[in-house]
Amino acid sequence: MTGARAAAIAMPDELQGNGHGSANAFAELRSLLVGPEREQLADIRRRLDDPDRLVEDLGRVLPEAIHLRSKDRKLRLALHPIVEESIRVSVQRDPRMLADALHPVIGSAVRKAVASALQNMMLSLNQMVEQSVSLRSFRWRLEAWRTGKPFGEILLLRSLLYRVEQVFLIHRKTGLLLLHREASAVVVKDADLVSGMLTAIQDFVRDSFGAAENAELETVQVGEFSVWIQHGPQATLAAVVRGAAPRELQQVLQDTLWRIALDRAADLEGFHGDASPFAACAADLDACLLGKAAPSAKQSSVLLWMVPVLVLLALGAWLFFSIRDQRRWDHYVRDLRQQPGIVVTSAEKHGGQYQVSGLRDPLAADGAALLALNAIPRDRVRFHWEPYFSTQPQFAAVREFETRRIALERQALYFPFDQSRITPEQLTVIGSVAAEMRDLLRRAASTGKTIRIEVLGHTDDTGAEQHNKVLAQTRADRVAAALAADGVPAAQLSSQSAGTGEALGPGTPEDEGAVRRSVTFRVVGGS
Amino acid sequence: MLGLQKKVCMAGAFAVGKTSLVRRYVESIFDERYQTTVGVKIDKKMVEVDGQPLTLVLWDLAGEDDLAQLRASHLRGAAGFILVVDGCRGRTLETALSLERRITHETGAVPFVLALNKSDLAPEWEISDAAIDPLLRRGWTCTRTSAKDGSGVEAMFAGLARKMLEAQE
Repeated sequence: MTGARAAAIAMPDELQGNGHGSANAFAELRSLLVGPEREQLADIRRRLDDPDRLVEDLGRVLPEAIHLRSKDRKLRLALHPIVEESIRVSVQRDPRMLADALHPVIGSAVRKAVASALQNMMLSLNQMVEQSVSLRSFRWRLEAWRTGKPFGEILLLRSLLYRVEQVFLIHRKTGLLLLHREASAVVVKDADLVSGMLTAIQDFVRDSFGAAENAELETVQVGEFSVWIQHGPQATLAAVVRGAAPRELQQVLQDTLWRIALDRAADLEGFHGDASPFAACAADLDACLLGKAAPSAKQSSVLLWMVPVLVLLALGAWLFFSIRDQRRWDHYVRDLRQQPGIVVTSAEKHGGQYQVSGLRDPLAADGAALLALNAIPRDRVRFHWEPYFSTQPQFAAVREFETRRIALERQALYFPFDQSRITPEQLTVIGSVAAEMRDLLRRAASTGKTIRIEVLGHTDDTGAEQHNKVLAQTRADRVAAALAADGVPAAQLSSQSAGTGEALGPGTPEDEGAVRRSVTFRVVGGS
Repeated sequence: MLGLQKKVCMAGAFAVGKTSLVRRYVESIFDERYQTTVGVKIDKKMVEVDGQPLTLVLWDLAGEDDLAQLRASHLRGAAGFILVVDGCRGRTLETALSLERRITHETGAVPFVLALNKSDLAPEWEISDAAIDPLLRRGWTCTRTSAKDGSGVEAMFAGLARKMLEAQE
């Protein structure tokens, strides 16, 4: 074509030398030969140069062209950013238009999602309240913290007795099985047949009860088994559960299905019966086989083990000390019960404080003194003693001795004014006093005590003090001598002046002075 | 491991011997009562085409009559179907022809075979070759089968399997 045109242009120059007549002839020839084509060419050029015409022409064929190439990936890729941008601009300009268009779709989806979320929330609320306060929940939180898993997952694993025994991934349109996983030791009938039947049953339920197209069968309950079904646009995930699974399982299934739908979108779209690409989803499905024993925690730091070890140590120490204390206390109570003159009626422990109640002879040993022997702090024990007299021989002897000592100390020998000579009547009294003294000394010796008896001389307060002192000493000496003469060992007797106005004999005689002119006795030691 | 699978629907008038075909020559775990309750029973048939194993998941649909209508949902996604006709009852062929139209309407053009069953009852045979000829001319695959002696059954399944694989390519 280019060559032809060059020839056409070259020719006139060649012919110019032959004169104008031939040029006209050539032009005529040319118009005769290519006239219609030239007009067409000019027309085409006009159409191409005129933007309005061009738009009109393109517009006529554009829809058809797009329709023709609608399957073309290139066209889709080319249009994609334009469509995206257009939607963005449209939303910016008037969001209501798009909202109106999407409302029927989104409205229904949102309603379903909200209803499902509310249902889940209500169901889990009771469970949550129960679990948030129990000891179990504390243990689970500890486990979640220790293993680094979310609390929800631990809850799922521990809270209810159930097991997901089988999981089916089913191609929704054909009902063909894409992948099937089962928990260990679960007997499985032909999973591909079950998959088909499950799909058929869903169709049956939907068709039979006139449910809407997007309404789906979500659970099937058969005895202790239930089948939990999650639906996606291309695939269905069905889990066969034994026992009562918590609602959280549904979320796990839903998440798994969504993940598979995303990862395997192309395989699902182009599925023609070849399930092999879905073998890669085995791990996803296995993760849904919940309820079996959780694998033990793989990682644990020293710190995590320190806590139980410390707790154990503390427990051990506490146990050791409380056992030791208990043994000491038992030992003490046994000792106390063996003490003469003590009757223990109760020995108890109230919040770290010991209480001992019982009867105690005033002559018995002090319960508190025994505490020190058993290394029990005095302030940890409170005593409630009721006094009583024990009939034990040693207490009887002590008491008899006391009685006789008091009796002896009440005895007195009276003298006339300024006299120290012992009258015959007084000798009789001295005889009985000497007998009492011998008896007392004997009793003291039999209980292993050593006593001494003081003979005290007294005078009235008339006369010179020096004289009275001598008089008192003389009275005491004479009585002591008389007692010694009557068989009281002199070594255990001593005599002295008690001075005027000192201890008087008992009674309230009319003549105070007569009472003061006397000799009395005092037992020293052995109490 | 799951190999290649295809969903195949089996349809036909009542008492054409669909269930008998299935009972003896395929693997089944479900009771026949499923058909009357759910309207379908799932079985499977393992076949081999040129050394390639293929699992036909058979949706044995309830017998067709005026009351039980085919459920469109059961046909969805079928890669092929089997029309079963009782060779001794001419009317069941008419049913099969109408079923073919209705199934194809749902599934689009997918491979199928026509099984002329009860071939063992030759003396009572009612369907003439003349009735079959127009179908063969339309490219249909028609196979005589007998659930009783098993003749033609394997060939029928294998033929459908081959057609489906060819259609996939």
